Amino acid sequence: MAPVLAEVEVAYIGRVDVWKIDVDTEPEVAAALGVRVIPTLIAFHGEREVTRMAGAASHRRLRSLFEQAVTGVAVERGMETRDRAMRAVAGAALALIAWRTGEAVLFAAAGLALLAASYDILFAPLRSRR
Amino acid sequence: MSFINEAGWDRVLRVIAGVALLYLGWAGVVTGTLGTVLKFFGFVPLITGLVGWCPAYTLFGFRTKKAQ
Repeated sequence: MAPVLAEVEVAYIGRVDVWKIDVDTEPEVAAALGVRVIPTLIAFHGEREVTRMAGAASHRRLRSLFEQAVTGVAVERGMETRDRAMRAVAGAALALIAWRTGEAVLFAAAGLALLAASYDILFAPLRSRR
Repeated sequence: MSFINEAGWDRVLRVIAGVALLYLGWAGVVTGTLGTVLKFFGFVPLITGLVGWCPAYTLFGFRTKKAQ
């Protein structure tokens, strides 16, 4: 992940300071921050933690983390466009096969795939009410 | 996400293969025992492709997704 991080770091020079902590030499810092997975990236805005990511992160997610550090506004992680597209296409294909064969199992599978492609949009009003 | 062990091309191939196998099985293109097998085993590549995680890869310590 280091090359991707370095790339994003360069894009945010002057706006975001990057600090790297070695958990072997500074275990007390890792414990205080509640780091259990390596690597863990924590975005602070001032002294307040905005968000964190554990494990490998894509370029897009890293940019999102840096952006959240700049703005101080936590952004809910959305579904990757490719994931949504694959689920929607698979759901549509299954629905087509189900329509041709009249098989209830395939209608159910198509429904599940389409639900998986859109649940975050469908249930967004419910989440915002909480 | 850290649990994903399939590369993008791997996932796309699995989804296409899954849909194709399900079509062959359920549309009656392939009949008999093989047709029955396809009807259910087509869901395996489809689901693993959509989720991005292959249990067999985990079992054998293999992955197509490059570590970042």
